[in-house]
Amino acid sequence: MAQVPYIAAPSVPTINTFLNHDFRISSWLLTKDHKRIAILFMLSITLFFIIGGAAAALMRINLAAPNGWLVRSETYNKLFTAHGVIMVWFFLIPSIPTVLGNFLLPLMIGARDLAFPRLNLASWYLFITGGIITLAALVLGGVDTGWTFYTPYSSSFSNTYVILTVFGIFISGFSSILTGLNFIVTVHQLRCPGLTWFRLPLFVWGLYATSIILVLATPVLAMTLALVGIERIWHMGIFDATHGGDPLLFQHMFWFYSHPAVYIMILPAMAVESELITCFSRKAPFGYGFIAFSSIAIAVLGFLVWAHHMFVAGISVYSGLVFSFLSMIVAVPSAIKVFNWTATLYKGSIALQTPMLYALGFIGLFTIGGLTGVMLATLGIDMHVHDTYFIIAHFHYIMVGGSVMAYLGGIHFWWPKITGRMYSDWWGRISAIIIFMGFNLTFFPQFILGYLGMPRRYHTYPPDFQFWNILSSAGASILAFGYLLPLIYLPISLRYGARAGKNPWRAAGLEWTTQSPPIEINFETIPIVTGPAYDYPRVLTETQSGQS
Amino acid sequence: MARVEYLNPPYQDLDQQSHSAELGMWVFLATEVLFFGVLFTCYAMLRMRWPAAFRHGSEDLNLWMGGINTAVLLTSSTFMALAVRAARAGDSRWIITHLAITAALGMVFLGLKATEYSIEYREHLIPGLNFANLSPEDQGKPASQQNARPEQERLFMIFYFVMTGFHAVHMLVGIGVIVVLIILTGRGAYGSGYHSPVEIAGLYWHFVDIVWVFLYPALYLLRQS
Amino acid sequence: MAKQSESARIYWVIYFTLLFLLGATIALAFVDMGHHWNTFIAIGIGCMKAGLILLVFMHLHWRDWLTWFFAAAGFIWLAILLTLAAADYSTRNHPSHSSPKGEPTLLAPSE
Repeated sequence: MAQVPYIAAPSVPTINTFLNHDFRISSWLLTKDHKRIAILFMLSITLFFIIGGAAAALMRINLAAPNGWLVRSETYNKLFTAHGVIMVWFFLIPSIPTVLGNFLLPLMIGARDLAFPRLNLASWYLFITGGIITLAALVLGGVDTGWTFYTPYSSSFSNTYVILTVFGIFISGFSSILTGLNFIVTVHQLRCPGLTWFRLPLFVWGLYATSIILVLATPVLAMTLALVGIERIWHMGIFDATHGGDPLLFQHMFWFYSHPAVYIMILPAMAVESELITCFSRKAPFGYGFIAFSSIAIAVLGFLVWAHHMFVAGISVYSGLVFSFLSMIVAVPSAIKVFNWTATLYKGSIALQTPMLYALGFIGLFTIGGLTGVMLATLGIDMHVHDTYFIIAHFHYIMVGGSVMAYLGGIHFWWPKITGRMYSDWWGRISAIIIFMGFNLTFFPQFILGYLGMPRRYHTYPPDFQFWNILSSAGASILAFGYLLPLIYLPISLRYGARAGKNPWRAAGLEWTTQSPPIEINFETIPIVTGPAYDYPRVLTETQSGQS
Repeated sequence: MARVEYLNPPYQDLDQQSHSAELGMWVFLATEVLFFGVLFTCYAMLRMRWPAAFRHGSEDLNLWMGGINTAVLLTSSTFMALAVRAARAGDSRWIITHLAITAALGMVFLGLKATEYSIEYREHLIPGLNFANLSPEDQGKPASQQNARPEQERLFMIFYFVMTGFHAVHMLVGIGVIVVLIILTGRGAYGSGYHSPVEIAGLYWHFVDIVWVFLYPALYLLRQS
Repeated sequence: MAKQSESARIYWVIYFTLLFLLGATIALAFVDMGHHWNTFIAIGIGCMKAGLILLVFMHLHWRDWLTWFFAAAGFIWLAILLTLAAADYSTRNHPSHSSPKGEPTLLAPSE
C-alpha cells in the first residue's frame, strides 16, 4: 500500500496528503483509508442531520400555535418519527465514533490504519444502505410509530412503512457492530511501541468504552426489530397479548439496546470533551485514571438501568425499585467526569478559542441534562412527568446539548488536522455562543411545559401552553441559524483558510506530530512513545521553539 | 515468516495479523451470543408465562430427530477441530478432507431439519401457514380422545421456527465459508505458515454448534414440569 | 499462536464426552424430577457441553485473558438481560393479583 506514489513528486509545491494523492471517484468509494472513510461518514451524517433537522423545524413551526395550524396529526406523527429515527440512528450514534473516531483513533495510537480496513469500508456501505432504505420508507409515506417502534403500535395498529424502516435500521446496526469491533481490535493490537494503556489519550478510552456498548447492545436491537418485522409479516404474536405474547417484552429488549445507546452517544462526547478541556487549559487532566475508568464504568452500568423507561408501562414495582436505584448509580461516574473537567480548568491557562467554547457549553448543558436524569430516575417524579415535554427536554440536553456540542467542538478542534486549514475563529466563537443560547431557549421552556403537564407527541395543545411553546420555537430558529454558520464558514476555510501547520493548538497527542492533513500512511515511521499523555510542559516548550 | 504475500496493512507481521483476526472473531461471536440471546430471553419469559402450552409444544416436536441432529453437529465440530489441527501441521490434504466432512455433516443437519419442518407441516404446526388446534389424525377422533393443543402452543411454535430458522441461516453461511476455504486450500493458500482463515472459520462453526447445544434442550427436551 | 497439544486424541475424548452428555440429557428428559429440576439440569448439561466446545475445540484453554474476556462477555451480558428481565416477570404479579386458576395475569383488564 505504502509504495512509490506517496513519496515521489517533491518538486510540486503542494504537500502530499491523503486527500490529494488520487482524485478519482473510485479512489474515494473503494478507499480503505480510515481518514477517507471518516470523511465519507462526515458528509453522509451531515446530510442526515439536515433532513432530521428539517423535520424538527416543521414540528416547531407547527407548535408555535396551539391549534395545529400547519400539519395534520398523522403528518405530525410521521414528522416526529422521522426526526427521531434519523437523528438517533443516522446522526447521533455514528457521529463522533465514525467521523472523529475513524479519523483519529489510528493517528492517536500511532498506527497506519484500523485493524480491519475493508470491514471499515463495509461499515460505511452498510450505513449508507440502511440510510437509503430508511429514507425511502420516509419518502414513500413515512412511519407513525415514534422512533421507539413500541408494540402493538408497530406490529398491529400502524399501516405505514414500518418493515422498511426497521429493515434500514437493522442493516445500519451491523455498521455499528463492525465499527465497534474494529475499534476494539485496533486498540488492543495496534498501539505503537511504548504506548501503554495509561499513556493512551482519554479519547481512546472513551471510544473503547463506546465500542463495548456497540458490539454488545446493537445485536439485541437488530434481533428485536427483526422480530417486529416477522410479527408484522406473519402476525405472530410474540408481542401481542391476544396471542399470549407480551408487548412489554418488546420494550425490555428495545431498551436493553436503546438505553445503552444513549451512552453510545454521550461517551464519545465525553471523550472529546476530555481532549478539548486539557488542550485549552494547557494542563494534564485532573484524575486521568478516574476519567478513564469512569468511561468503562458507564459502559457497564449503562446496561443495568434500561427499565427506567418503563416505570409506568406496567412492570413490577419491585423491579422498578431496583432499576430506579441502579439508574441513580450511573450518575456517579458521570459526575466524576464533570468534577474532573472542572478541576482540570482550575488554575489552567485557559484559552477561549472556538473548540473550548463548545467544550464549556457542553459541561453546562450536560450537567443540566444529567441532573434532570437523576430526577427522572426517581419513581415518584417519573410517574408524574412521564411522556411529557420534561422528558423531551431532558434527553435533548444530553443528546443535543451534550453529544452535538461535543461533536461540533471536536470538528472545530480537529478541522485543521483533517483539512490542513484554519477556519475563522471569530465566526466559530459566534456560532458556539449562538448555538448555546438558541439551545437553552429551545429546550429550557420544555422543562417548564413538561412540569406543567404538556404531553409529548401531540400536534395541538391547550392555549395556556402557548407562551412557552413560542419561546421554544423562537429558540429553535436561533439554534438552526447557529447550526447553519459552521456549514458556511468551515467549507469557506477549505479555500481561504490559513495553512494550519502540524499543531496549531499546541496540543499534546500523536495526531499532532504528523503533518496536516496527514499523509496516506499517517506516519513516515511508526512513532515510539516514551512519556505519559498530556505532558503539556514538554509540548509547550517544543512548540515554542518553532515546531508548529 | 513464510508467506509474506498474506500480510496486509496495517500489520507489521503475520502473527499480529492472525491474532487480530482471531480477536475480531471472538468479539463478533460475543455479538452473536446476544443476537440469539434476545430469542432465548423472549422464549424464557413467555415460557414462564405459559408453562403448560410450551410443554405441549415440546411434546409435538420430534425429540429423536433433534437428538440425531445434535450428534451430527457435534461430529461436524470434531472434524472442524481436526481440520484446524491439520492446518497447523500444514497438511493441506487433511485440511480439505476434514473440511469436506464438516461441510457434508452440515448439509446432513440441514437435510434432517428440512425433513422435520415438512413433518411439522403435515402435523399442521406451522403458525402463519397452517397451525391448527388439532393434529390431522386427531381430527377424526371423538372429542374425548383428542389431544387438543393449547392456544399458546402457537407461540411456542413461532419461537421454534424463528430460532431454528436463524440457526439454519448461520449454518448455511458456515457451509459457504467452508466451501470457499476448501477451494482456497486446494490452491495452496493455507499451510503451517499461515492458516488464520481456517482457525477463525472454525471458531464460527463451533459457535453455531454451541447455539444448537442450547436450542436442543430448550425446545425439545423440557417436557416435564 | 500459544503452545498446545497437537495430538488428535483430545478431540476424540471430548467428542465422546459430548455424545455421552447428549445421551444423558435425552434420558433425563423422560424422568420427571419436579420443581423445575429438569430445566436446571438440562441447561446445566448444555452449559457443560458448551464449556467443553469452548475450551478445547475453540482452544480457549490455551488463550490469554483477553480472549477469555471477550468469550465470556457475550454470556455475561446475556445473563444481565435474562436476570433483569426475569426480575420483572417473576415479580410483576403479586400473588393477590393472580387469577383463580393460578395463571398470572400480565396486565389488569382495566389497563
